[in-house]
Amino acid sequence: MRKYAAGILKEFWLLKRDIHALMVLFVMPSLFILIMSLAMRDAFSQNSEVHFKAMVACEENSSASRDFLAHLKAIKGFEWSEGKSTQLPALMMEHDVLLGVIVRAGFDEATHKNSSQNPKLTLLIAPEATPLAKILFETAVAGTAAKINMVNQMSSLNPWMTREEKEEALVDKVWFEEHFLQGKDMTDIRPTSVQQSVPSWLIFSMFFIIIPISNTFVNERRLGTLARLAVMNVSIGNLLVSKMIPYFVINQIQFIAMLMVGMFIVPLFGGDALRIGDNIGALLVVSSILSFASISYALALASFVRTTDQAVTIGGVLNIIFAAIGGIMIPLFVMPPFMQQLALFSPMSWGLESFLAIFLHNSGWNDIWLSLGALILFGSFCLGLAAWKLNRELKEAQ
Amino acid sequence: MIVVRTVTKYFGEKAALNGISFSVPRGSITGLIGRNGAGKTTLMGILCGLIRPDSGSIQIGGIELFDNMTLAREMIGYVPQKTSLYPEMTGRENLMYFGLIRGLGGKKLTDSIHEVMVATSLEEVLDRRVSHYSGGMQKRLNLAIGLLGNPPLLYLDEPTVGVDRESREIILETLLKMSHERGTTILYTSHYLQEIERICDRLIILDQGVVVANDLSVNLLRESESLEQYLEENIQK
Repeated sequence: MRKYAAGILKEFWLLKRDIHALMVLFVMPSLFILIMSLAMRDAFSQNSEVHFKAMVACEENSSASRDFLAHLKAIKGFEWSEGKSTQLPALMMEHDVLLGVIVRAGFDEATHKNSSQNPKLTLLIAPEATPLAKILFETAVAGTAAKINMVNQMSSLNPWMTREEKEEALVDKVWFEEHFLQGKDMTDIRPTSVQQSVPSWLIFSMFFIIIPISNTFVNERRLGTLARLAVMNVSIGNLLVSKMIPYFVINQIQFIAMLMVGMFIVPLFGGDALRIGDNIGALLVVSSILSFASISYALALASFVRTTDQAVTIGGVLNIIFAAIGGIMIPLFVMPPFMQQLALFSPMSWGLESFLAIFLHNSGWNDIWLSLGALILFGSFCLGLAAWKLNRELKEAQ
Repeated sequence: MIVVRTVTKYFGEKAALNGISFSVPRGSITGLIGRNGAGKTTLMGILCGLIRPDSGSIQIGGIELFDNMTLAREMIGYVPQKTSLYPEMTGRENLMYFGLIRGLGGKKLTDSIHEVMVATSLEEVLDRRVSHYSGGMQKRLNLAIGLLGNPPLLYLDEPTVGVDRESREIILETLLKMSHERGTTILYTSHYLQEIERICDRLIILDQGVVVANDLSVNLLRESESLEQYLEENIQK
């Protein structure tokens, strides 16, 4: 027992002097969470403040074109300005406007007919417009035009239709209500950027435990300290366990600190507050298993490299690859299907999936056991690899 | 204190040690010398229990090393050639850590740290980080760790390599004091023959995996000729 206590004490002594590693473990993820939560806030928010700049030009002044314009401007998500049709392309370029629509002469007449021939609307799409913006714009324009067309046809069939009746017909009817899918016991929880950022950057920083671990471990191997410890009856199991415990504690402090950043610091800067759901027990289990996996991975890597620089470089690159394919840097749901399949190879993704399942769906064990099982297998394999390498190295050292 | 019987160790086809036998009397300072590749490092590894021999047996203080490794190792203080320390910890923290590993605690640990600190003249620098120590100070701390808990048997593998004169003196004086005052049995390897002549009572000479001189009395050697001359005439031909 005293040997374990000594090992743990020693790791804490070394860690408290490794300021750079502590910065990477605590300051880096805090900043990432803050920056990414704020930067991606609107992309995740349901009450989006994102407005695509759009321009409209009318070549005729008819009741149909006026109605069309009025209803188009009422659609959320666009910031409208007006110009002349001949100047529209130039104005769009000048003012960085991505989307434009020209109402051609004859629009009023066309909306009274049931024909799609000879379109009287021209859309202008800037090359920088995203496919999403283009689809939204096309849908908004087509929907508004269809509505005007429908009302005008109704009025053609019913010449006694009053202006008020026409306006009433143009009013948007509420056809649906929105519900966001969530866990069984949760109400009004919607995914926010902070719910994506906190687990992402927490996991990323947990895997950077490689820096302090390799700083001590590589030196122990290089300076022959492991052989000395072996002569003092310190087994490889004893050595690995007494290394894992302090770093596990550090990982758990990271976990709590990053949740606090999401819950209390991000809102101070105008971001959403993190809501973690009710399944705190599951969160703690995910965090613990993730810690086991990240520490074992760090120990395995630190057992194979020769220098601390190698550990930091190789570990850093592997972490970035795991993060890039695992949905840490870019959320998985924006990736194409084959990239989402690739994420299955990243242990960071297994951890992220588990955290998101609890945050967003208040999931129980049924939804996360597979990811947790994968993390346990990965961690056990890495730990076994580290033990095997150290055992071999101790023999070779002589 | 140490009895080695017909120990053989092969690495592939090559015999690193070929049926060697010798003993180290309790309380003696025994020098283990030989050219590079003579088998000293392999022998030291076997005596520490880090390498298992292909055949033969080793007894440490009457205990079969490979039958009861934990108990036998508790008698051993090991000072490796490399300064196997934690450079980012202070000297005191290093001593505390290795002391706890050795099974010391409370007053025993504090007393032992004080004792080895005085013996190796590290009092003034003990609370400084080891990375700020000179090479000699690091070697002295390396020795101090081996002395923690006052082990009855001490293995020293080239403890004075790259050390300044002052530190060398302190190390050698400490070893002599340990042997004379506490009866510590010391097995000492070094390339510095003057050191061997100065502190060792007996000598074991290894060459190409075999013991070519066993239990050679350094005192007798001193009376007849220098160690260097003896080696030139008998070994290095």
